[in-house]
Amino acid sequence: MERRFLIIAFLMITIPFFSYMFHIENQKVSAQLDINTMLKEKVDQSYLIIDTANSTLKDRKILLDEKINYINQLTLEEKSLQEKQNDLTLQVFSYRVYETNDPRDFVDVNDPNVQYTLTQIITPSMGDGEKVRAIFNYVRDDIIKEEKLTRNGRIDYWNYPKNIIETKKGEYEDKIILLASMLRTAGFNESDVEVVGAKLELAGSTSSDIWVELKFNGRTYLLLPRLNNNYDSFNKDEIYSLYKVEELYRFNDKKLVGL
Amino acid sequence: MTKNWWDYKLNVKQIDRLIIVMMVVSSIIFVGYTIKYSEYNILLKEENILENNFYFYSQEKANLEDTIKVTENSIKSEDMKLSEIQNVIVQREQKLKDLENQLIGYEKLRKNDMTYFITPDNEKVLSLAENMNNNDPVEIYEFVRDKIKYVEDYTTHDFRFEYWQLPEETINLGTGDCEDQAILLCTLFRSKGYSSDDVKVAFGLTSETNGHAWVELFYNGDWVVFDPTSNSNSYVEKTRYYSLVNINYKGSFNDITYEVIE
Repeated sequence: MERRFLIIAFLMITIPFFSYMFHIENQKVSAQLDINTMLKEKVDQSYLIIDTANSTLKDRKILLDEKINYINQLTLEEKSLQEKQNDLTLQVFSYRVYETNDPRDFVDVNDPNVQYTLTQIITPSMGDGEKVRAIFNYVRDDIIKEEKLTRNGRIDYWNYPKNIIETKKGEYEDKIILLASMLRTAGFNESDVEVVGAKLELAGSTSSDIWVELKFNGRTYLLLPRLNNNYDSFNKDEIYSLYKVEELYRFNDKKLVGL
Repeated sequence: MTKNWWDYKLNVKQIDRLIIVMMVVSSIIFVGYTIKYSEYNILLKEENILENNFYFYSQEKANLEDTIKVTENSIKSEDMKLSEIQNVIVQREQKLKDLENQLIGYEKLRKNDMTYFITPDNEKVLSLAENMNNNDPVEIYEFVRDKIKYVEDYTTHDFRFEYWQLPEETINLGTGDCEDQAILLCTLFRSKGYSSDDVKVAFGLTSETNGHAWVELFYNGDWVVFDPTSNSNSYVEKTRYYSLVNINYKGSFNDITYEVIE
């Protein structure tokens, strides 16, 4: 009988104890459920944010790609424009040199055309006089004088020896440039070959002219490669004493002396 | 007399029943407790997983935000590049236009198309024309005659005996020879609204080697000549001028047409 009472006593203790424990666990579960629900909401929110961010990133990347593609397209366009600009610049430059370069640039002593032509008309065994005669006669006779009425001097005043020899045509000052270039290429010193532009006055009449002044054999000649003139037609001392000569400029491939 | 509960006495059988009932109750409560305990542990694990997920998503979000920031910076950088390249393209297109115009000009020069020289729409010319009070051709002529000093070309242009200046160049220099003055005068007439049918620069030979240029204008029902190199007359009737100067006419031009007699 006592054992039964002990069991009853034990059960009377355990029942409230387990009830208490159950209650505590229940509260913990309830609290944890709240925590988990809150966490789940946060996770869901984060997921939504990530989803939105992913979508934003995707949009941005598409935009970036579009921009990069557009830039690549524009870069190609710009490159093509640059090539066109380079081409046009070269074309414009090919004209502008005639308009802007000073006369020294046109006296060319390294022109292969001039060098080749010289091998055709002079030989090393010739004396200076023979060389000058041959060069002068070539410029005077073989280059056809082309005098355009409407020359405006902007791109058609000075010309390069190469063009003159290739076309076998030239205006008077082109012949002067070619003559100076050929004489210099033939070996005459820079101090002995100069193009001179001057005003000449005789009996109250003034005119302008240009020629090549050449010093050799102790004399100074004025070379004017016009029809009926020879290389030794004009001696400087005689001309300068006959005319009132006002020199305006002198030049060759090396020097340029202006007014 | 009423009985209190303690007055009842349980017999052995009843006590056993009570024990059984209490044991069942106790077991039920214990099972409930263990279930709650397990549930709690599961919830803890779930919390752990959720926390891990939350942490992972937070990291992922931060990474994405960084990537978005980098991408947006890249977009800004590309925008700058785009703006730069668009500017370069605009500049290049302008440069190309300028070069094409220059080339057209040079092509005209190459073909001896003298319309190149008459530029009535040039800003400098328009500004000068606007500053003149009226359209009186004599006043315009006197301006060019008196304000543009006659000088030979070789003094200005790289030792060339001939160089035709554009009107803007002549205005800037304040000097020029016969054709430079005539070109400017003709251009001013055109800027002032004179018809291209009524005004032109004419040129010709006054001797075998000397050339000259002047302006011809249809004025008061007749063609007259304005020669800015001469300050003796304001204008002279064309046929009289030709006979006075002994002109061998070789051609004429304005901004629309040109004529050359070879």
